[in-house]
Amino acid sequence: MRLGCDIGGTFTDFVLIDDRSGSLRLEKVPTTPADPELGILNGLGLLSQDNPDFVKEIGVFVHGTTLVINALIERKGHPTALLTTRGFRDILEMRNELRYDIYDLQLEFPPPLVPRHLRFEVPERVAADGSVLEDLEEATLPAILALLRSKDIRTIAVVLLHSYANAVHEKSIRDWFARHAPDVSVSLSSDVLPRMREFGRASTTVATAYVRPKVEAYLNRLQQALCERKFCGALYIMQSATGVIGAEIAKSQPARIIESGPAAGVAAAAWWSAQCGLENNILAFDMGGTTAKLCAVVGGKALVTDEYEVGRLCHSKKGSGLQVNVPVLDLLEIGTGGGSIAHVSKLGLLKVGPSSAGALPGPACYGRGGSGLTVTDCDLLLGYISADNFLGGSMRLDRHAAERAANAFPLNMAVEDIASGVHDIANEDMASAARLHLAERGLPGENLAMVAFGGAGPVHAYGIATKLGINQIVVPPAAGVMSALGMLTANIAVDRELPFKALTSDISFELLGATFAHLEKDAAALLPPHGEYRRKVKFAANFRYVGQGFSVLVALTPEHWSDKTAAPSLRKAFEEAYRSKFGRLYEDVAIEIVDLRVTAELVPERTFQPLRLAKREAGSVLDAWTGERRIHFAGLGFVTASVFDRYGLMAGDVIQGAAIVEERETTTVFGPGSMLTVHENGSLIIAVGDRP
Amino acid sequence: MSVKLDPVQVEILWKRMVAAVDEAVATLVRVSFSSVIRDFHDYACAIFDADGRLLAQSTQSTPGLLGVLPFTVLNFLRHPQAQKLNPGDVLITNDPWLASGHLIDITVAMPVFRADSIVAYVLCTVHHVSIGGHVGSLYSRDVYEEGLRLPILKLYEAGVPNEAIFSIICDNVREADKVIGDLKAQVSAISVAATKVLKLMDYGGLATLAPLSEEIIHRTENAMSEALRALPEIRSTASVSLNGVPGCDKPVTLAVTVERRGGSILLDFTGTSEQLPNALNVVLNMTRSYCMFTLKCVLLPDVPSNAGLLSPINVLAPERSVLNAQFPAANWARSLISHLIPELIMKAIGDLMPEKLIASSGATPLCYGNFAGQYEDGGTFFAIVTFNGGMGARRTRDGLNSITYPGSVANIPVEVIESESPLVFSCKEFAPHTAGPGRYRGGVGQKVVLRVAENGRRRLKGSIRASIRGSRYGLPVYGLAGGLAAGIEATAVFNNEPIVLGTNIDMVPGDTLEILVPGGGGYGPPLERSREDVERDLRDAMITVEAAETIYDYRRT
Repeated sequence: MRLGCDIGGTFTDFVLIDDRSGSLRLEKVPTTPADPELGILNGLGLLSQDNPDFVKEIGVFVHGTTLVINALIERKGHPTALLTTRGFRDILEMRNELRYDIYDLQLEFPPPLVPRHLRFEVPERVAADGSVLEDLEEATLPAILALLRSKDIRTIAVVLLHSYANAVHEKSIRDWFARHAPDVSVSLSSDVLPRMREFGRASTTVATAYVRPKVEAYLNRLQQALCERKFCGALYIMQSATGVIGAEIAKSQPARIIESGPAAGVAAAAWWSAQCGLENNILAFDMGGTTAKLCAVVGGKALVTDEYEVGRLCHSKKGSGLQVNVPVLDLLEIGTGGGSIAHVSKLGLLKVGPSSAGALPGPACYGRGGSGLTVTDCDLLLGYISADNFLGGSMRLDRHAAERAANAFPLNMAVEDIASGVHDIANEDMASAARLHLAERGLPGENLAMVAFGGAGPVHAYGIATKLGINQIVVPPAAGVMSALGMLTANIAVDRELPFKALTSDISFELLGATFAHLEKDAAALLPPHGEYRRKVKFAANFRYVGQGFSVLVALTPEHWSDKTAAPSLRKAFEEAYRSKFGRLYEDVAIEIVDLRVTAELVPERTFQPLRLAKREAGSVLDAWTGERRIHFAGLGFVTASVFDRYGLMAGDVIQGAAIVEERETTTVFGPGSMLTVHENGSLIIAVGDRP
Repeated sequence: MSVKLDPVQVEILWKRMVAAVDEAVATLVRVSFSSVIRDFHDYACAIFDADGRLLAQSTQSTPGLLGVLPFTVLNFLRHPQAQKLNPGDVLITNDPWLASGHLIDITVAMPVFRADSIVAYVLCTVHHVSIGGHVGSLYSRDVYEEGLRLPILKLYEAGVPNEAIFSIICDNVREADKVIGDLKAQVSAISVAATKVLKLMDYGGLATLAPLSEEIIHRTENAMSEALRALPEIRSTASVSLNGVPGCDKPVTLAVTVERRGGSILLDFTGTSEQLPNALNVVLNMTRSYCMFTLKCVLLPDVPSNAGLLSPINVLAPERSVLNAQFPAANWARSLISHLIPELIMKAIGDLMPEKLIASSGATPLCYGNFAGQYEDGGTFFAIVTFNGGMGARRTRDGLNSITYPGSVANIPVEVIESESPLVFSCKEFAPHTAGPGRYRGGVGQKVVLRVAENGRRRLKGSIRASIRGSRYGLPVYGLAGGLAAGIEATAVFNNEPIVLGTNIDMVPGDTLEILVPGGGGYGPPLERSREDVERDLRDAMITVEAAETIYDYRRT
């Protein structure tokens, strides 16, 4: 059996798959923020009601947690010290010396995780080519240790210049601490991110050291508790990019699991899209109460970035957060959610956000004291969501409160025009951000299928798809446990990288092969074989035109370096990748390799099939019809839409728009001219058509 | 005929307009070659309506291009080359007086056609890697020495490249591959913007952009005028004197009179010194840019840039003055003067709105060095190193430490510079004690020590030509509202000998260079600084114990 478990802010979700029977079980328990493992144990308790021994039978337990990101955002990690090359202790705080908003004279940066008085310098120097210019003076370490002791600091980051080229001094410091202070946790930048550019490496290593004791303690407690329940399978943690890693790697490199929940959500979105036999180029769209998240998946693989920031002071402003350069899903986060409050700007225009009513007081229609007009209020006034059927009817929405908020809105327009304006502008904000995000990555939006989830995702998907020219929307079933499910669809992966500078025209294939072999050995050591999985190794290298800032990651195979006649094919491999990304080549510019990357993966031997919906034997889709209501579409005004109960739909059912499909966690909406088909795996697939 | 758009439609279409220029920039950055685009963000894309009025300018672009583009596009439109435009035509120029103030910025623009008529213009300006001429010198005597000058020409005619122009550029610049690559990236960028404009018009059902541009411009203009009306009606003046400017035995004066009349404002630079016989001259377009930048920062930082933001601002600078230099004045190093404009204006309007201003910044003007040389194996290198001082303190917070202001330039990491040149840094660190004290202190400055490697793997051929600039020429980094000035001037020490910033030096292996750039000025009386802030600064060694005792009257308890 395989268990996926995702800890979110409110709920801890479980998906249990029995590979023998193909059965799937979902469970949800409240999250226990102080000791997150208690929530897990509560869930295991629920799941074991039918089968007391089930924990013993779990072969693979994949877990996702917000522990790391919360510790960084809330600054609840452990006091951390930084050791750097003499003369460079302020690199961490200088960042890239650029203001993220050129017109804002009042701007601030998030304070560094390590204040200046805890940043220590050690005499040593390595050159860019890895040669040692100045030996490490170990004699300075006892005084630093004494200071750490006096301040009770037990986790340190070591970031020395050019350690990606030669880590000898970083390793000496680690060994020295192992001998003299084995209780101090030491994170080396050459382990965490062996890559050029000192600020990114320092910021990432410091973030690692800062959260490491907390993650270690948590995973130890979890392992202990599982052990007591006779768990004898393997514990894996979801990574921030795709794939999962062993718990031991997560303990030493916790930055890698920073976005594990959202990454698993996107993995699930890609998986559902494939299950539906659709395009493998998708736009995963998750919208909740405070933010929306978008991520492009190309060729079945989610885009990954190394330029990630945590806790931006301003959502849309690159440079306003803490930089963490681990591979993270290339996620676009937008400050638009159901709780975003509308206002009139000083130019007399309608704006949505950035302030949000959040969950408390929440939108006016929640009746908890919120009075600002929010996106959710407008969704209610426009008929997108129902006052009586919100969260399966467990929470009644107050339509009058929403109307009052709209009436009080300081714009001389009819209530319905205000509401539709708010809805449309919220959609435009998300669509504009998505367009720019895709343009920066050279992706045309039109060719993507959208997979929508999250409480407000399927409510707004249709409007955004229309704006982006997207003609297919998928709303998967079990959207409430997307992330927990995604954890079980992901491969177990370890990746290693090393800088490797060489022109393709002048490359040593022996050295290339040897470096790849070294990385492969490293990766394999971290990924012991496992019964239910088979191992797969993938090679890739970053290439670029000499002088151009962007590098392109190109997949390679051993044939590329196994014989000397292979030289032209390296260039060709790069050119193919470059052309598909930028649409052009530069014939007369030299090409160089920047770094080499190896990913070792364990692929599940068995893939599970989601539950199949039965085909309708008798009756019609109207059996799931629950009524109709008026719903407003921008440019069309109010039209009458049929309302359906998702739990009554069966495989092959077809619904013509305008229509609404309600389920416990969300509401799916689409307009006239569009058509919804129910897939046998339970997904709703909307073909977005032109309005009549 | 005239369509009236409601506040929702305006918001949506306007947002798309701004997104269109930002998407154009995304294309530019993606396909460009030079780190000037990638790291220095020295570019802008913009959309104009059929009358040449600015509707949107890219969000992430350098302040120096803020006030330039509206005038650039008008210069294009007045030119005989622009009288008969066809679809696919692309105009080009880098004339400092027609465009953005120095030759190294190349501007391209194209008309956007819908059916047979022009509905918009799109434009892109980029600071290139090279335009020929002297390398980064303060001492060029006229613009001819500074490189190739392209009048307004058609770079493409009906989509067909004018190969003659490409050849001329190719043979007159260093690193021609990068220059041509970046130039083509500019054309790709404006093509993207043009497509997006047409899509936006389809979406909004607009036959012309007029109804939208009216809304955008008038709403912005009204907001700007309103912000101006909220100021007291006042006429105030300020001036500063620079001493020791190369080639000048007299002080150079920059003077401004700021006069708010109704909903508009006049910035009159009468009283400013004559243009200079070297490269420090500023053309009027650049002076306008930093005027616009300052007023936008102070009055309406979050409103996107367009003609409406700019029209209430009138700028007057005497012809042949250093802030309105006339042909053929050299202007390569104009940022040494133009970066001082925001500070000068703030000094003049300081009494009107001290709460919105910042104290003077040690980071101003941008201090940086070019290091160019050759290896014996035939390879060359060209490294740019920025040295960033601190920013002035604000009314409710300390100034930012080591940051570019008012320019907007990311640093190039030490590890990148060292791997691409023979330079080795001994330190790059905060220079504590360089900031002006105050209730809120200025951001601290920076100290950088670097040397030429003695035993590098690649042997140098000859020496490295280094050119470092960034002096304030004696102008103090003043404080505001009782805050104190930063104590020091930017200094450069070459092999233990102080040198004048702006001097070119030749460096050989073993030579060292030490640069110290001051912090920002303080805000408010130092005695009002909170005890916690003083203690934090002491703990972080950002101030000395003596300073704590004497300036902040702090006694350890």
